Amino acid sequence: MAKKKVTFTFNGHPIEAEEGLSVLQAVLDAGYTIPHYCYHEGLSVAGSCRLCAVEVGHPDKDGNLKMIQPLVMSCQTPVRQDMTVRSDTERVRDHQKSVLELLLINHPLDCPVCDQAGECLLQDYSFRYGRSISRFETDDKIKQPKKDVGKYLLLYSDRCILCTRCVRFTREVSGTAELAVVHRGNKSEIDIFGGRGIDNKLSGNLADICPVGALLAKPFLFKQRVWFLENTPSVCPRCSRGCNIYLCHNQGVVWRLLPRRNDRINGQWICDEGRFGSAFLHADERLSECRLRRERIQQPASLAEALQRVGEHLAGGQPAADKLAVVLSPFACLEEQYLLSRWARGLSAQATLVSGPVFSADQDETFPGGFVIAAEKAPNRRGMQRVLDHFGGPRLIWQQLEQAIESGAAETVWVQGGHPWRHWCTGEQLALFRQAKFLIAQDILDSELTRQADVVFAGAAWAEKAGTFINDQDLAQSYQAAIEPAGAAVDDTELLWRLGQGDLPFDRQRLQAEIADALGIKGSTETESK
Amino acid sequence: MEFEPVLTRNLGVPNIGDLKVYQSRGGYEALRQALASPRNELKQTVKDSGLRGRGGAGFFAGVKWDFLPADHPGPFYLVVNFDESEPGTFKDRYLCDIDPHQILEGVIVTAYINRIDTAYIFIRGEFHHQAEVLQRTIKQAYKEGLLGKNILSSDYSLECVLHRGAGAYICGEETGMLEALEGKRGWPRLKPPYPAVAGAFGQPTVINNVETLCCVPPIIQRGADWFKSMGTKKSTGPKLYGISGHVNRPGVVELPLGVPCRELIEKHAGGVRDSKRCKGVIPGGVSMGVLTRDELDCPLDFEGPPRYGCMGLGTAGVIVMDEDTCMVTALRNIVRFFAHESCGQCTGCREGSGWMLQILNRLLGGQGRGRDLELLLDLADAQGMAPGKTICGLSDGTAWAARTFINKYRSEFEAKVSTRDRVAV
Repeated sequence: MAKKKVTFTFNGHPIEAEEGLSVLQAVLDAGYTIPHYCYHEGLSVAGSCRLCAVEVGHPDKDGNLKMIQPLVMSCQTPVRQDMTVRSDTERVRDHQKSVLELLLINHPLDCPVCDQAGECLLQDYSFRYGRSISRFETDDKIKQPKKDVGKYLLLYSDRCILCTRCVRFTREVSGTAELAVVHRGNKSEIDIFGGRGIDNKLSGNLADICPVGALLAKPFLFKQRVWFLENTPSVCPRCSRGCNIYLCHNQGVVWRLLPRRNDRINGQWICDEGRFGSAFLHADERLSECRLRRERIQQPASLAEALQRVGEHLAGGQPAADKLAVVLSPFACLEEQYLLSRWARGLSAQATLVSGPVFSADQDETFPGGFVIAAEKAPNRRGMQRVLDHFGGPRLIWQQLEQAIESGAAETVWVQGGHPWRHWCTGEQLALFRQAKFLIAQDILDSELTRQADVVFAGAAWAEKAGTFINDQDLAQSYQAAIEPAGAAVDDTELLWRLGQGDLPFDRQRLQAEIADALGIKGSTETESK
Repeated sequence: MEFEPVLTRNLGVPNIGDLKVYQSRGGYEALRQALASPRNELKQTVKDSGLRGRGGAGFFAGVKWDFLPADHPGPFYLVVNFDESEPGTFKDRYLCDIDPHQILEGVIVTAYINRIDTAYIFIRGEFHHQAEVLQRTIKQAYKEGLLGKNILSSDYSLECVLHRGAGAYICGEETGMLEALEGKRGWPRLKPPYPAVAGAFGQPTVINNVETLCCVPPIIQRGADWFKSMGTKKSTGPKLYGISGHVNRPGVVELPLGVPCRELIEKHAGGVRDSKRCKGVIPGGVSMGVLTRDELDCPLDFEGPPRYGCMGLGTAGVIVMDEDTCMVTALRNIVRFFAHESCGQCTGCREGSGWMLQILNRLLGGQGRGRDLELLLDLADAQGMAPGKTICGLSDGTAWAARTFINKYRSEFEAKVSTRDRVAV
């Protein structure tokens, strides 16, 4: 049931909001701002930083505005009909100045060597709402040492402003409660219990929600100044949940991943596996060019040469095409899966479509805050299924491919890879592929599989290409390329387009429309976000 | 008319901690009477008596009980605030020392009036002896059918649990106490919801001070008018005054509310020791501010101290300072206490009190700077629940102490600003 709406004014601007919502959230939702630290929409209300103070008033029975004497915290005050909220009064401004001055007295001001600089709320608010000078002058600040608090996190206690977002996160979202406030007064600090570090699969979010440079992610430590980074919206490929993310990159390198809010999927969080699992993008083992086997030795080749070789091999006509098997990858985007299948079926109705391997945990992992890590460790198993269902005809699962090769039913095998780890094929499967007459590997990492292939197509990893994944809730989510493919690697969708369409110019929109139509994907394939 | 002691009526009676002795002095008669009366009549009597909370804020006890939601299915809890930690305050401990069953009777009667299922007595961690005494008292009461199922064969049942604090001033703040009772860090809660709606373990909860509860049985027995005959119009009944500091006879005395500060010192505490002059008096625990020697006519009731720039009567723990006292040092000690006891939750209190302590220390070290006094007053204004700057009232204490000490003894503070800087002012 829809909640009742109320109207109130913020600094004179009328705002409509759901009854019961906090003033702060209503103001933020309306696109205005009130500075705040301890408040975070994904966590319970603490009300302790005292920065979000406002003056409020209500009309009395004669309709005259009566302001309430004490300041109230907008994070804990629900909106009411005809309420007046002001953050632009001298009292509020003085209070903001005072809170910021107090937060800075024991803050080290080491911005030049702090990773948070540039996205630090203490910097931003001090600049915008603070005093330009501190009356603390030269007195001794309280210094607390840097602490190693977990696999991915460092805690710089003296930068901490004790907003306790991190403490609440571990209690409410991850449900692991590794953090607490120890000591009292201005000796208070965040700490772990008895040296037992932060050990949960969502720990990276702590670095995001920390408004200052107290909790920092080790993999990103001293890597980049954040103002050099460009954030490209994308979708995480590490499980079938399809969490919405930003790829933060500079000069062709993805330096970190951040969650991008989507209340239908991941809320405001992502898991550590996704966040810290993108190192393969820039691994030494990345395939940077196509290869052809010439007289038993693999040699570099251009894309055109590689395509030509595949064409020549299958030029034998129907008998060869009938014995073609293509393995679709759950890591490939919908467009790739579709184009590869369409190409194979275009050559022969008897060509076999094979669903590639999906590694899976026993079950989805659901956290107390509602966040889910899906059991299926691939982003597009559903898309693969939809493509296979659409094309019908001869179809095998990965485990059945063995027999098809042994019996000679599959002579030419195209293996679509794109897995984020190198050796996704087991030794047995590799031995099996050796029996295939002609092996084509489309992959991103050099491996035993690509080394024994007759033709190797160097593909682009997900961050380097546009595409669409269908997640475990059947939501189709498109994403854009953030960086250029490694070396001479190419966007796989374009590669497969050229394979099937020859010289017809690549038209992604038309392709996406065709796929949406063919697979019955309703509505937009654009990503959703709040 | 000679004042007849109420709360200290059993003072000096041998073995008064023994149930039989307490009963021989009329103990638990009020409970019998209460159990035979309708609850709303009893509550009305307490309301009519004008009984105000003795824990510091002076809120009307009966009105507070009215905040319990009538339609709630229960359970209801009573939490007894025995976390007496305000410097200069030792009245509740005294009550337990001289007459522990009196406390328990107050608890049971109040619990009965408010349909309480379980009463938790939250006792300050440092009160080892008193905790043992109360535990014995509770055990005796259970044995004699005054606690547990069907109290005195009535249909009312009450469980009573003694909970020892772990030693933090902030756990005397009622919601900090609830958190501590629930086994958490003693951080005061955001209000609303108020404890009467969602208190201990999320249930409706009454929180009262020990002395307040001790007033309830006599009110039930002797009526609202009798109670109102003591004290002033708005501050009714008897009050325990704890006197400490530079007096000849420190201790606890029971007097009707409204006794002038001067009379308390001269008549009931034997005057300032060594025939010295009084310099200042803290009327009710160090958080309330200070009265100068010219303000000693201040009546010590709930209305008196605010008229002299203090926050209130507080706990009526009166601290007397003689003419040799350094007021800067006195304030430093107070601020050191609050900085040490700040729970660290709100920015203003956590950082502000520590900063104030630093400034006071440098003033005392002769390193005071020209703007230090203004800075201290500014920092005092940056905290406190009353202006909405902190969650709880702890830092109101810091603020009021600082404000009254600096404003009332300004020259003494100015003298501590280093001469070099004083020229610059």
